[in-house]
Parts: sequence; structure tokens; C-alpha cells
Amino acid sequence: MILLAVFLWTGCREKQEAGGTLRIAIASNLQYAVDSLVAGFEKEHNIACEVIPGSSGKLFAQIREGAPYDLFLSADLTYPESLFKAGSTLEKPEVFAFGSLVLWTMRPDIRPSVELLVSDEVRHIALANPRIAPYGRAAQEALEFYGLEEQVRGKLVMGESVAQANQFVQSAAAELGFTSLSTVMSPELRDRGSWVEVDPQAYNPLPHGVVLIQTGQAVKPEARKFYRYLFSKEGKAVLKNFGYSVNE
Amino acid sequence: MNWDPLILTFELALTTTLVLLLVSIPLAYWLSKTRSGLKPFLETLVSMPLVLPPTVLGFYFLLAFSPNNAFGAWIDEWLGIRLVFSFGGLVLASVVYSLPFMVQPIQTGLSSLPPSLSEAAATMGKSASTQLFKILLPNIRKSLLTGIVLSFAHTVGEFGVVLMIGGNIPGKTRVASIAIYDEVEALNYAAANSYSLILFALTFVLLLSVYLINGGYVNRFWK
Repeated sequence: MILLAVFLWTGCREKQEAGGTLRIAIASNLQYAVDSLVAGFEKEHNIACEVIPGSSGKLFAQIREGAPYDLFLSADLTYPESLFKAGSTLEKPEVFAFGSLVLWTMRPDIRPSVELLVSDEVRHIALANPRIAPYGRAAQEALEFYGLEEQVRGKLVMGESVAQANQFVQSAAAELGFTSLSTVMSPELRDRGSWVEVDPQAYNPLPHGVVLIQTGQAVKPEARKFYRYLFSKEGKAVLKNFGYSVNE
Repeated sequence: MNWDPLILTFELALTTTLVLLLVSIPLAYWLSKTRSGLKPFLETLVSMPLVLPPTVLGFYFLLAFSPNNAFGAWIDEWLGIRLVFSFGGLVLASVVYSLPFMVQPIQTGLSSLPPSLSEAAATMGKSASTQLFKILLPNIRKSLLTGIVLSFAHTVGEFGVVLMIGGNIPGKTRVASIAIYDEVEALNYAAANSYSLILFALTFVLLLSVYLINGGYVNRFWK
């Protein structure tokens, strides 16, 4: 009897929750921009949103196993495309922004630069794990482009995502780190430390893809509204404000 | 398959267990003897890693070990050791993280011995350290074994702390739990599965041996 009551109660709760709120899974580098996007979207449409940040790879695996997210904003295009190919989404993913790579430090006495990576002053270089995080892959490509990967191998420390690489830099545990332009452009971190953009020639472009996911029978109409907002003039303005480039 | 993460995990667990043994025996002995008002506070501190999320410990270790911090800078300058992103740092963090698993069984074991045991030894003029090592510890072998195996196993199972302060460096801080997480994220389920199976089997054998020995099954078998 008690068990039954509990089941009924949790069942009702789930239905209630699923009602209006939109669950948006995002790559963690998008956190700051999406918080701002969500604020604008909620005001305009009166639809509550829950943001679930994580590494693109983890979110991909969760969605493939049926995680109840309505939209997936990835830091690359590969994961959304694989979801589409696997049949987890019915609509083709679309690129909504391009990211940029920067070198960032909290140390007041150093100016970040590519040359500094090999200096003895720098004992640890933080980056996201290149195997699973697009910004980590870009960082590795940049190291290869400058022919530094052998020299700095012993200094590299990897976070599971850009967000964790950011922690390493922010705590100054690593003197230098690769991160996204959106990190250093965020309101929280805008004036913290110093940074320099990595030459875009040094790494492959970082397209960010978005894909609609059908939870239950179909894609939620609210999810479509957010999708459209992402490509609207307001949405693009927010993204640009946070250091992303967008197709005009 | 790459065996390095597994080997590193067991190196870390072994080193941590040895350090814990050295730290915990005097600490547990003091806790079992003392009537000091500090005792409940110390016991609380020792037990806190049981309850705190490992991320809390990891977060504070990251801040404390950073050379930007007084403690991290001091260690860096005076001993030339950088604890963040290093094996030494993982050992220190694991010692704190697994402390209750070593201290509690030893303390319980010591407290359960009748006081007459050490009193008799004291009347025969045996020093406190002789009492401890020749009389008390041999009488709590089971508790010692429990402490050793649980600390070892708990360190093998460590994840959150290492994730926060390790930096995923192959051969230095990429332990098995991190490697498994990595492989799952990289959608390499086969590799994740083989690491996981090995850990599963090893921890099963480890814990089973404690239950067998402490349950008296081994003794019965030998008779």
C-alpha cells in the first residue's frame, strides 16, 4: 500500500515537472552564454528552463541512453550528428556558433603567450582532455601547429572539460591554460587574470551544434521556440557578446 | 589494454595504506586512552571524510595545494614539492580521505581490550610502546587487518578527489577510476569494461578475504 502510494506520488510529480520546463543539456563552455540566453528567453516566452551542463561526450552518452533533455547544445558537430545518425534525434543538427581558443593565466607577473608555454616559469599547462572535449582537441592541435607538443608533454594537466581546466587556471594550480574565449568574456571572469587569443590558423574551427531531441512522442513546441530564439537576432547578439562568432 | 592506470592505482593504495598505518596507530591509541576534552572533536574530524562529498575535499585540496596559497607556496619553496597534479599530492589527499577507515577499526579494537591487559604489563615495568606493540596490537590483529584492507579498498575506489586535483596525467595521476571515466566519455565502452571488471574482481577478492579471515573460516579450514 505504502509502496503504491509512493509510486503514485512520484509518478504525479514527474508529470508535473515535465509540464512546462525545458531541459537544455549544454557543453560546459556554453554555460555563461546560455545562462544569459535563458534569461532573455524566459522573459520573452514565459517558459521555465533547466540547464544541465556537462562535457559534450557525457551528455551525448546520456542522451543516447534516453536522458530526458529537450535540446542539446554541443561544443562540436560530431556528437549531435552521431545522435542524428543513431536515430536519437529526428532533425538534423545545425551550427549556431563558432568558438575561439585562448591562453589564460591568473598570475599577475606573466603575460600569456605561445612562447611562454616552454618557459621554466610555467610548470603546468591546463587543457580539457583532447580525447573527449573539443576545446582540448583544439588546444592539442595548436600545440602541434607550433611544434611544441613534445616539449610541453610533461606539463600538461587535463580537466574532463573546459570548465575543469578553468578551475585549474583559476586556482592558479596551473600557471597557464587553454580555455574558450567565452570563459574569459563571461561577466564572472571578465576581469580576472589576463588572456590572449590563439591564432585561429593554429587549430580547426570549433563549430557548436544544436539539436532538438524528442522526449516522449515528439519534440516539445517550447524546445522549438528556444531553437528559433538561438538563431534570432537577440540570440545571436548574446552569443557574440560572449565571444562566439555567428553566421549573420 | 594499458595496464598503467591499474598499476598506479595499486601503488597509490599501497603507499596510502602504509602511511595511514603509521599515522593511525598512534592516533587510535591516543584516542582509545585519552580523557581529554579534545577527543570528541578529533573523532569528529577523523570521521568527516565518511560523510563529506569527495568533491568538497578535492576542492579544498586544489585551493590549498595551489602555489598561490600560503600552504602550497610554503611546501613548494621549502621542500620543493608541488602537491597539486602530483602523486605525492594524491597520497596526502588519500590519507585524509581514507583516515576513518583505518583509525576507527583500530580504535574500536583497542577500546575493546580489557584494561587489565596493559595494567598487568605496566606492573611488570613494560613501557607504553612495548605494551602497544607487543601486547595490544597483537591482540587486535583482526581489527588491524580490517583497517588495512578497508583503507586499501577505499583508496582504490577513490574518484572525486583525484578528479579535482589529479589533472589526469598518464603514469602520475591517471588512476583506474579516472581512466574508466575517460573511456566511457570517449565512448570506448570495451576498455572501460575491462578496467571495471578487473577492479570488480580484485575488490571482491580483497573484501572476501577479510570476511573469511575475520569470520574464522580460514582457521577452521586449516584445522
